[in-house]
Amino acid sequence: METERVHEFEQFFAREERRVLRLCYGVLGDRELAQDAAQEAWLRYLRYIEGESPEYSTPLLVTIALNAARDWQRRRRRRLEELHPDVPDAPAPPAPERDHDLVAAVRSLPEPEREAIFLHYALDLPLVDVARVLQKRTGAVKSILHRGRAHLRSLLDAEEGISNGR
Amino acid sequence: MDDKEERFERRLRSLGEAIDREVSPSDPGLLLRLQRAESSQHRPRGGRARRARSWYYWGWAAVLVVALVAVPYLRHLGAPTPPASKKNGQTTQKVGGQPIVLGSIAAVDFLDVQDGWVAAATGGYGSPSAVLVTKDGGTTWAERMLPGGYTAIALTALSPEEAFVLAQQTGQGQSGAAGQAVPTAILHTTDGGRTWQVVWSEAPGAQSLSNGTMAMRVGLQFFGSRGYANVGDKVLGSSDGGKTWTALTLPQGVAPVHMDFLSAQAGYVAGQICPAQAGSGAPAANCQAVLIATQDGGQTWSTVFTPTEANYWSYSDAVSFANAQDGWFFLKDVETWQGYLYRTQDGGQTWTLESSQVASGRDVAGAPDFVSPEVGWLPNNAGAAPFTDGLLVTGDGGQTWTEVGAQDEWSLSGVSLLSPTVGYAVGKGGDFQEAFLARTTDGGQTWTQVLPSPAPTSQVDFVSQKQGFGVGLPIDPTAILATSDGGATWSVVSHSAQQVEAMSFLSPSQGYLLAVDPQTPSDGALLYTQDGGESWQQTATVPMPNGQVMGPYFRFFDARQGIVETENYPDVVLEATQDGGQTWTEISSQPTGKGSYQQFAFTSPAEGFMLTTVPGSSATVPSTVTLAATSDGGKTFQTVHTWQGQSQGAGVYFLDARTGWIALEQNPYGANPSTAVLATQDGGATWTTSQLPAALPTIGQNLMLQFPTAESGWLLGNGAIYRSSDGGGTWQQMP
Repeated sequence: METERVHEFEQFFAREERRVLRLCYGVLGDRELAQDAAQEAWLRYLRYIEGESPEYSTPLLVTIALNAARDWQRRRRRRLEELHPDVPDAPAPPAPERDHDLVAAVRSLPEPEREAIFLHYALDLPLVDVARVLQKRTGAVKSILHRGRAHLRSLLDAEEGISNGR
Repeated sequence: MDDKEERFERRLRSLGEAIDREVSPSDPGLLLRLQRAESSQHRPRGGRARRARSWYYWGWAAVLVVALVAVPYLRHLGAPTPPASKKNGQTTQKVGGQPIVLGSIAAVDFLDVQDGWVAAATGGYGSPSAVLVTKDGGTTWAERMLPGGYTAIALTALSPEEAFVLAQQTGQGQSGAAGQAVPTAILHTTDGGRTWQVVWSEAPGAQSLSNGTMAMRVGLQFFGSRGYANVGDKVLGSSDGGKTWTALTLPQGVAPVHMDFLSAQAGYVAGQICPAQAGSGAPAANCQAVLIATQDGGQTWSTVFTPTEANYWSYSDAVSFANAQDGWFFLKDVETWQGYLYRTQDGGQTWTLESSQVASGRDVAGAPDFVSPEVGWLPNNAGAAPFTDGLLVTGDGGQTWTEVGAQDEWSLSGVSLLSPTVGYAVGKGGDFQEAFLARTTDGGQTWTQVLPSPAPTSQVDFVSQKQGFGVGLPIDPTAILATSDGGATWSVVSHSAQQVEAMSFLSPSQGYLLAVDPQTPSDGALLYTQDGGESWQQTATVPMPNGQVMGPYFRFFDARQGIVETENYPDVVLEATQDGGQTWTEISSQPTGKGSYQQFAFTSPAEGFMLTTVPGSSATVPSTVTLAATSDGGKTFQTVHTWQGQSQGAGVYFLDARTGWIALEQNPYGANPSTAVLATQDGGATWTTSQLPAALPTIGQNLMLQFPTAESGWLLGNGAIYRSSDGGGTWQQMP
């Protein structure tokens, strides 16, 4: 890298490293897999912008990171199927049981809601960027988020009820 | 919002931090490995990836092989969706006969109800800045340009002819990467913006103002010949009307964030003291907010207030005085994202916590602006909603704050108050976060969009060459608009209380809206108008079972028959009604997945077309775009044409069974994506291609294509409207 570009990339990396890792962990739910996927996402991103002017784009990086995380998720499923062919499908993430299981609660949501909530709330992406990453209209993203929030609230309310009943 | 709802919101807001507690960046070697990989085109090695499982090595080995064989193509890896639009957030405004693009509006300053100044970027970061000047309350604007290489971030007007602009020197070889320090400059005009003189500037490489610093916090103030400027990490003073500037000496360790001077001699600076280094307004660990004051024009300073309520990672946001006695100091606790508003009524001698309920988000920067001891405005950056967006108004000196206006997703960068009821706000809003200038004359209850001129941003539906309807403004995503001159001018006819999903008009008077109440998204509302959109009545509820999301296609052919596209993830579902929307029946279900998607265009309840895009996973796997026709109301489709290559479907419209158009995003993964419109006169067997004049941003499915006649067509994408009068052969962007 040229010196100036190295500096710019360092700043971009410093700002976005946590964001990429949050997304990968949100999708994968496994610390080590998330770190592997995050590394691959960064590499893909660098390859993607190779030869381009150094205009670092958060939505593009997030798009690539989401795809990388999805790929790792698919690899993991295939690996599980190879190791355990009798098991029909990987089990859904467990419903939250403890107060700090907010992440698990979000991970238990259907895929569109899960990804939209992670992108919007955990990564702080504005709606227009979430729509761009998910290839949906912003209106559709709003609807997905509203539904996801409703699902999540019912999950967390149930959790609260369980806690209070103990 | 009740307590339970607020707890839920607060908890949801902490999702990112919750993940951080479970996994946080702990691989200091990753950046180094990436840089080595970038410079040597080698794969990164080591770190915790080295400890991964054996199949992981095989995965990397495969990537390495692909990299060596097909490095030129690897830039497409993992990006089956297009890159961010470079035109996102830009709006156009016709000034002096030619439309200019408003990338963002940095500042507004109205001297009175007639004379106002606006500083705006004409494009993305580093683009030339325009200064717009009005002498008739915003009805017409004169466009003046700043010298090249300067991007305006703040403006203060002294008269209709004289103004100062604080600018970043983006032409000094700076790339504009966020967070990068960019030298600043002050420019001065005395001829209404026709010519500008640089009266102060930093040398290239100066570290005063980061690109990420909110422009709202910088500022310029004048009292006769005495001027003050907050340029990031220093406060400047001028004693000769702004001709020369020198840095004021602040107390040791105080980094200024925001200033408010009451007179040529008396003023306040809100700042922070950080143990490691003085920041530039960005939150820093263990910083302590502090408020300092001067009574002698900045020669000496004293600390007047050090808040104690938020000691952890707190930092100052703003200070504002309505008069010598009444002032407010706003700070933020970075750890809890709580905003604290303090008030003094004795000229800063004592301070009381007025409110700790003021919304304050991650990168939200509200600078309170008070026009009287009672009335104040607090503009907020939407940032990462669901924080309180837009504008908060108080009428009781800050004890209570109320959201005002239709401000869904407003990100305000500044306000200019002329009185407790009249004021202007600048920022971005709407589905595409477009720049706007809005005016209120009732204390913020209702707003009028001044810039850009009203035009729909999310929906258009033309019933003739002249008459059409649209949805969405930057200041109001659910505004219903109408035009009777072919889209040259638009007026707001009504406002939907619900989120508008789609629109279909049968005539200049009769039309339907499909809307969703965000609180009950499982039920879509079918609304009907008989008066050209001025009033709407709900005629039916469209059931949206759990899992469905309204799609973009919705059309009524008469008062009884209609088709709607919904989504039952991951499938797309077509539903039809024969009774005016009272009941809906599923026609067919189209599978999606792996990034593929469908778009529809029906010419009658029986006949229509479906455009399916299956994007390739890399450059070696081209995208496939297929046009298929139906003659049984969407039950079955037969392929009529297929395109393969680096294109994706962006829109489709058919006037009849033979005459139709499609829009294709070309090279959406490349550096220069563009949009082409293809036309057919034989039902899709053969096509002619036209290119839009300027590269329309790649916006995926956010594009609408409409031809009410074989010659007249409109294309709406990312807030910009293009028109063709020759059947799609040529296109012009509408002002």
